[in-house]
Amino acid sequence: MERRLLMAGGILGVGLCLVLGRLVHVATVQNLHLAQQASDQHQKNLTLQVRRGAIVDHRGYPLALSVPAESLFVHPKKLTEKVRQQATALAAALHLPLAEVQRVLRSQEPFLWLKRRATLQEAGQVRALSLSGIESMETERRFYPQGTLAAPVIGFVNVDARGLAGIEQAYDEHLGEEPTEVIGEKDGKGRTIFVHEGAVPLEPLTVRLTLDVGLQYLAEQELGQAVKATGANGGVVVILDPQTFAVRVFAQVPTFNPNTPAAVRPNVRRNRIISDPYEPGSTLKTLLVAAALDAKRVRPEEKIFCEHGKYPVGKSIIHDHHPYGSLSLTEVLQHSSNIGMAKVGERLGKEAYSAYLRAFGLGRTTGLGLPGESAGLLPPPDAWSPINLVTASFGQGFSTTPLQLACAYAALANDGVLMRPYIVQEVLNADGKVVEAYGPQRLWQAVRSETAHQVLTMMEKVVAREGTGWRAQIDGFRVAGKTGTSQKPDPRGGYSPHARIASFVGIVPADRPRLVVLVAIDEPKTAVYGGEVAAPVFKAIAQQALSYLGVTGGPLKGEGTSPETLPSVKDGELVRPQFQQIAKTSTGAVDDARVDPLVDGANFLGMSLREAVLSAQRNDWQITTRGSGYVMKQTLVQQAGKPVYHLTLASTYEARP
Amino acid sequence: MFMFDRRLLDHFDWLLFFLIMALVGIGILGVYSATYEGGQSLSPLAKRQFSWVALGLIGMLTAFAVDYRRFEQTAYLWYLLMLVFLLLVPILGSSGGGARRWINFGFFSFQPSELAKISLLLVLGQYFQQIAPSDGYTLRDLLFPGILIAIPTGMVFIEPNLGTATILGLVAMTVIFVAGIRSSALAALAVAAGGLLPVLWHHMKPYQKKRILSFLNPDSDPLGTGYHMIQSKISIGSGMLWGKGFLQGTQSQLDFLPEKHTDFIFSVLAEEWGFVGIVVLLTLYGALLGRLLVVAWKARDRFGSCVAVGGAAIIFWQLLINIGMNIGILPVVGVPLPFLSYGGSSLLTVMIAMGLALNVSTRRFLF
Repeated sequence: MERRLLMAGGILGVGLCLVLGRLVHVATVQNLHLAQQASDQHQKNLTLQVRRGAIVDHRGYPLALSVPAESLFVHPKKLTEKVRQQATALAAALHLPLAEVQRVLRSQEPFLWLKRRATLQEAGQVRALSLSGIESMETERRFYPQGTLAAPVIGFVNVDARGLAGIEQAYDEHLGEEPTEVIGEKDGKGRTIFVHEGAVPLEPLTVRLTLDVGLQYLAEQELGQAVKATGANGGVVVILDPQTFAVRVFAQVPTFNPNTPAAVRPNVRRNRIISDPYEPGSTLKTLLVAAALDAKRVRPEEKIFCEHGKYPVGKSIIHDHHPYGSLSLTEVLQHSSNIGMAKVGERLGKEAYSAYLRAFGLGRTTGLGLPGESAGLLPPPDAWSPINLVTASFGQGFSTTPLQLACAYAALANDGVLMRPYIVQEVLNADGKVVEAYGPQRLWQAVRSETAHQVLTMMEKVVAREGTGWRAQIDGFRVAGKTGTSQKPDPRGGYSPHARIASFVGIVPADRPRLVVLVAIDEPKTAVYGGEVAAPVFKAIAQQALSYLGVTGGPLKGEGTSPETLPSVKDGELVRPQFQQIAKTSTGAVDDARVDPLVDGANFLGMSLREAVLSAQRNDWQITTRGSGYVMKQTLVQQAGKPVYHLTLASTYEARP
Repeated sequence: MFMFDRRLLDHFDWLLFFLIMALVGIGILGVYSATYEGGQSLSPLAKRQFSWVALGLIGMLTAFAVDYRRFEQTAYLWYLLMLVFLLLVPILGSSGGGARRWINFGFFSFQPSELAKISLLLVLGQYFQQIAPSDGYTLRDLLFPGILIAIPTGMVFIEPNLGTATILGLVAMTVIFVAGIRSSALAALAVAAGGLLPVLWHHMKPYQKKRILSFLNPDSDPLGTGYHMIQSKISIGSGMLWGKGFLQGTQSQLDFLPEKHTDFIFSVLAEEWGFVGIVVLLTLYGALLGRLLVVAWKARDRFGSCVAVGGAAIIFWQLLINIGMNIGILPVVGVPLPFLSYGGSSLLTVMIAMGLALNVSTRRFLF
């Protein structure tokens, strides 16, 4: 037995050594190969896509959002006949053409998208059909909750969520990162377990615009009605804040719905305010007047003989609409006399005129930062013949975009200082912290401050009873403005006999400019003159905008005007209620400067509680609140040497009569 | 019966006991890791296994405390009890994995085929104690033990439980070999076994055949039957020298490794503790086996030797086959790794066998 035990021990030892030997082999010779196989198995490359950030207006109102969606796909070859016969049901569920669905299901391709970025409801309906072989992938879909509102500004995205136009394109890299490849771990069933630290992609950023949804809405409403009423091809409205050159409104008609950008032709999607230069016509006369005054070639009260309506220049004869004799410079502008302007232009000279136009920002892009901006056309003065100088005096022979012209007027409203217009206020991270901030950026003094004030005073006469722009008058406010009726080039050469662009550019209140509003109506049919077609649109928009912003009239005419009598914005959904209570400071004095929410953030009036708290946090203000609803009243008191705002909130129903 | 003699304590085989407890400890860690589901709480499988460990310890102490000659005297009683249980399996048994192997006792289920190992050792030991020809056993001498072996082994084989049947056969052969079979008889048996293989193959279930075929070429069906083998090799190899750390094995924790807490626990340990851990583990097994052979050598009687050798054989063959299939040198047959694999019946059986070995070792000086 002992011998056998020894033998057994031997066998046992041999067996163990055999196992050990094999283990040594696996663990030394094959280990690297096997370790590689192991990591191949449990590591997988993941493509991580940050949800695309939102685009919001300056109050945080959403204009573009990303919502969860599903991309549905099939492996057509593997589909059963039963599934293929469900094409009708699938087409109905996914809102796709039947032929398209049939093509996909009958295809011999190994992989095809059935519908990318389908809504969750659509995907749910497909699932309800319980067809095997229709697979889905989580993704996101761009959603524009306001539909057509400010669509050309916001732009749209392609099926890969890359911006193709507008802010979506210009801020593509801010809004959505490129999908990042990271290494994650998966389990034996292919489920992702975790993603390695450090590989977590960047958070989505929110782009906050300077646009105001309320103003944008009312401008689009008024513009749309005007275009319809006049049978025009379309039109644009620009509203700038002349103190900062922040863009408040970019409205255009016709427009498109960025949720379905393919539904319209590409030219409808173009942002015409920055992309389509036009001959400014008489609206340019203001700039020439400003230039001539600034160069001291003419005085405001100086009489200019207007040749009784006919003024030969070379082989051409210049006409006025009405024959005038001697007019003061102010009257030349007021009546928009071409002959008077031609004489001013001749006096100034083409070099100086051209230099001033460049100083007003013409012939160069404004630097707004949106894609597709045109510089307009401003030929160098060497190329100007004498007749070119004369026609240029009433705005023909070169072109500006609506934005360029609005900026030039904003410079007049801003003590002659031209600024760079901006439409993006700031870029915020997910925590609401500002990561990029934009603000007013002074370019240069286009004309002297006195000149600008002089011209504004003259422009008020345009809106006066005997001026071309009298329809732009707004009760309780001083309005400065200029009408324009541009001829359009004819495709066959020369100017079209009928086609006109009727425009009006206005500044309100003229004594304390808050808004520069440009209205241009393309080819109105009922009437063609800017004073007839565009000025009333300006009035309707500016009046409501002033009410919306809580701007009261100037001390001369505005005293006693009750803002409540002004029409309010129609859509309560879109527009925060604005009330005219003027904040009292602790001293009891009316704090006029606090009224303006756009210029000075310490106005909480009309904000919701959440907005007020966020605004206070951003600006590091102390606030106390009482009640619920919207801020109806704010009082500023000093507590321990620090300013504290007491806010009283109430629901809109209680507040509205 | 329970004679708590001071001498029991004086002669207690502490080395053997230490080796057993070390392996039980590793088993606890291994099953904990293989059934780990994250978080602080124990997985239900781990909880169940730990109660089996407790039951195993009780079983071991019982098998140790009672004088082993009592078991010798009652060997046939245990053998008959075992046959009854084996007969009950097809009637009452619950099935799992395509085979009917378990008897369900409500709160736990049990594989009688496992305990068959113990009772078989007892009857063989009893027989070889009684009949001890000086020049070894002839085939004729072995006819009766052969029948004793064949009945339970056959019953287990048709359950079907190829793995346990193989172990039963191998353990019995080991005991016969050590007890002293004549070389000529051994040679004749080897020839007969060779002849029996085709018959055995013929009686195998399709899944059993498939396993053996896929062993010969695992890459022929890498996602099917070859999957176990490929995955276990990847787990072991990727553990490298020092392993990935406790609970850190990617292949096992991420469920690439199938049956990780039962048949492939070795791969989990190899992945997490590396080559070094494996060498330590195999050293412990080697020491345990060596110690068991020493116990057999020094045993007071042939019954004791047979029981100790049988215990060693149970551990050795299961170890060899289990690790063999983990590292891809043997086909995948469901044989648990002693002390380590999840499974109560297997653990209890091994613990009882170890209790008997401790019994034999401690009582060699008594009486």
